[in-house]
Amino acid sequence: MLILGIETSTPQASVAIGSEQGVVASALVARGASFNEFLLPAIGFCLKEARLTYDNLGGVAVSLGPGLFSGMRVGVATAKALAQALALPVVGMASLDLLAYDVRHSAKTICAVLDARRNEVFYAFYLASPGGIQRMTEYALAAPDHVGAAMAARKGETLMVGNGALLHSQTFRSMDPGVEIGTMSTAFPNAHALVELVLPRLILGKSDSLTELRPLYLRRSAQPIRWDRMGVAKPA
Amino acid sequence: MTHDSLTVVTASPAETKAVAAALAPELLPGDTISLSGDLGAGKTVFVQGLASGLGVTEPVTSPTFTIVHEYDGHYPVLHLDVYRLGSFQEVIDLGFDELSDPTAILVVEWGEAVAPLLPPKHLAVEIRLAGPSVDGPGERLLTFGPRGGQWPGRLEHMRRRAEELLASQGGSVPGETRWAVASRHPGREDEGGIDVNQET
Repeated sequence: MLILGIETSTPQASVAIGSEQGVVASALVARGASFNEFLLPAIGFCLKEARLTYDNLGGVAVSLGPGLFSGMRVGVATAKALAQALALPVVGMASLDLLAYDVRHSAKTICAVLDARRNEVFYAFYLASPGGIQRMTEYALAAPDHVGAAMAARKGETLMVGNGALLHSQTFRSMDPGVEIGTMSTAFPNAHALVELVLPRLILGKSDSLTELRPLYLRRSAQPIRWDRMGVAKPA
Repeated sequence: MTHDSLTVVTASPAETKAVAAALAPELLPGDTISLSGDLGAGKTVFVQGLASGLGVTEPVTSPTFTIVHEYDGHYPVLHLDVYRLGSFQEVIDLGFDELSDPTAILVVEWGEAVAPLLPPKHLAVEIRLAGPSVDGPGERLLTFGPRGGQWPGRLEHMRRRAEELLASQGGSVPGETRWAVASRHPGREDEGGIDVNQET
């Protein structure tokens, strides 16, 4: 089965087409084009160079974030549109899972950390399990200090991966001197891992609801804008 | 950290534009300006002056109903208005975090209403009527309120540049009464402590 993977939740966007034999085509861009400029041409490029057409695809895998707001929206909207138009099953996967999956052979606790801007990070803790990874905590948004404290409170050594780990490495090292920080090659979730992780599910006939699939928005606010305090009178 | 504000009186839209244009060379990608002032105070006029000073040649209009306008000058200029929005969530749902782009200059009308979402270092500009008329020509009081960062030095550069521009326009307000340094306007302190991550 050939499936398409779409990962546009971080500044390093990628698409990949793969099967049980591995990835057969991929494209990756980390600067310049916006996500919507990149995505469909990149899919077209992968199909064309691998001598495939949309009709050869058996499913669509998409990263749900957490990550960049516009990237998540473009990725999920495109995946859903393709799945609907081509009558294909779709499966969503968290960006943090993809990061952790790339370092699944580590014996350490894995902490996947993505930059959420505003001096906050998206993160989750994982343990390696036979054939993959097992997530130990909810996907969460917090200040690096908070993640560092959570890491220091856990038993054993930790491997941190993701651009958030690199960006805040000083903070994390100061709170847990034994922490291992990943490198640039594990800084971003990628569509290769997405294809590999999702393929078994699609082969088993498992998929997500097209209508219910949505990005993982972790930054929420219930705060109203206090226009009255700004001296602005607005009709109710 | 709060610094003293710089105020200036302008006598016409042309003068407001001149002051805004004088600020432009001080701006760098990643800078955020929040702009407050009642309807008709001249927020769009200010942004027109600022944008032209940043090399934008296309017409600059109010984003009140379109929410976000994007212009290409020496740098990308993003012009946002949160006036029609009612909650922080609506601002987040615009992708606000990514509008705070390190490669662009961001101008947010009514930005102080969502101050906890703004970068801690920004420049708060308030425009108020200093004369009797609302929409017509009349004096405006522009207050530049630095919120951290290197703003005080940059505002001094802006002032010198603006004085030259205003003098070349034959400004009607004497220089010694036009400018003032003021303590921060009372009653406009940041609300602070707003939790933007609260689950709905």
